[in-house]
Amino acid sequence: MGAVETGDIQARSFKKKGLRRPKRRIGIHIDMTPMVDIAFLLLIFYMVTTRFYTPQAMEINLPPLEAEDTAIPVGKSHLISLLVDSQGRLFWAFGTDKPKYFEEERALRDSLISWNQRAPDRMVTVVKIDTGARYSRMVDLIDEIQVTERIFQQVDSEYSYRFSIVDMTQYDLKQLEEAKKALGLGGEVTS
Amino acid sequence: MLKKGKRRVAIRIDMTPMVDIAFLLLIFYMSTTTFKPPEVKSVSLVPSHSQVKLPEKNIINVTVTAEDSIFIEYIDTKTEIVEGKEVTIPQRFYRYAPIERFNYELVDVRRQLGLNVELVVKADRDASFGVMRKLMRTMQEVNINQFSLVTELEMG
Repeated sequence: MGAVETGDIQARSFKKKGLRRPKRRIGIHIDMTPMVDIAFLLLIFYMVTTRFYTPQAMEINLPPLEAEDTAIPVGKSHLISLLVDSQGRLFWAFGTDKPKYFEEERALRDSLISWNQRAPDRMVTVVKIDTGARYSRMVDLIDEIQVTERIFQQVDSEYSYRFSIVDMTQYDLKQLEEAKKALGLGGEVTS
Repeated sequence: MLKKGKRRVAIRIDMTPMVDIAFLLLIFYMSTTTFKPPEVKSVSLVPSHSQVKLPEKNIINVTVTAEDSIFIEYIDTKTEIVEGKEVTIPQRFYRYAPIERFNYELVDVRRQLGLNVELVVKADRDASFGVMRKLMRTMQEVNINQFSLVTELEMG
């Protein structure tokens, strides 16, 4: 493999005595093919197996338990309710209105923006999710709320979206059932 | 007529730059790769637009699987005597903590690690909201009012 070629060994005549001998030049040829093979093999292995895995975090703040009982007065016209039934369907309501089915969820962000534009610093959104629904629905809604918050923050950097995740009451469940009946949507509510 | 014999041209390509680049890439990939730590259960994350970096140190990892079982995972240092010297070795611990016992297990882990650890909840997209609601309630009860949910970055 590693072949060593000896160069011109024929000693050149030393012209002057006492001078150092001129260095002998030896041409070395090493066959690098196997090394390069291995290098590429490893390179391909690492390139294929590497996934730049960067999970993102969503920060959630929970109110302290003592604070939960303190009622925060919210004007009827400043309350938005987002309700998710056990099947994961989204309903929405203003104030004490009857919940309406929100069919096109892609438009949720635009709707949130337009609802909040009425009074950006006074609107409060309440998220109520049925315990039978999937947890991903909670993340979906919080995500849309946070995106909306960021959009408002472009105008007013102090802005913070007021929202909270609240348990569903029997009253909410009844309202949801009625709304579904009116729409002809089936499905039992689990909780 | 005789066919003209093919001329053989000895081609020599200097491979040095290619090999240089190959090694450069190789070293880059080798040094940046950290293998994913083994998971208790694989969890498919929920996509979100959130871009907050996940804390990596001083965390308690709570995994909620699609079947709503809960595992607590944390790294604690263990002191061992190796060749007459005390050595602290970080070690990964797992605990199965069903929701009824989650409260107790969480308090116990927090007592071991100290109170300045952050809670990271990694829940499967098929986990039910019910179990997450109970989980959040338990956290409120033990005075953890802030935690992070692990999500996957969604574009658009």
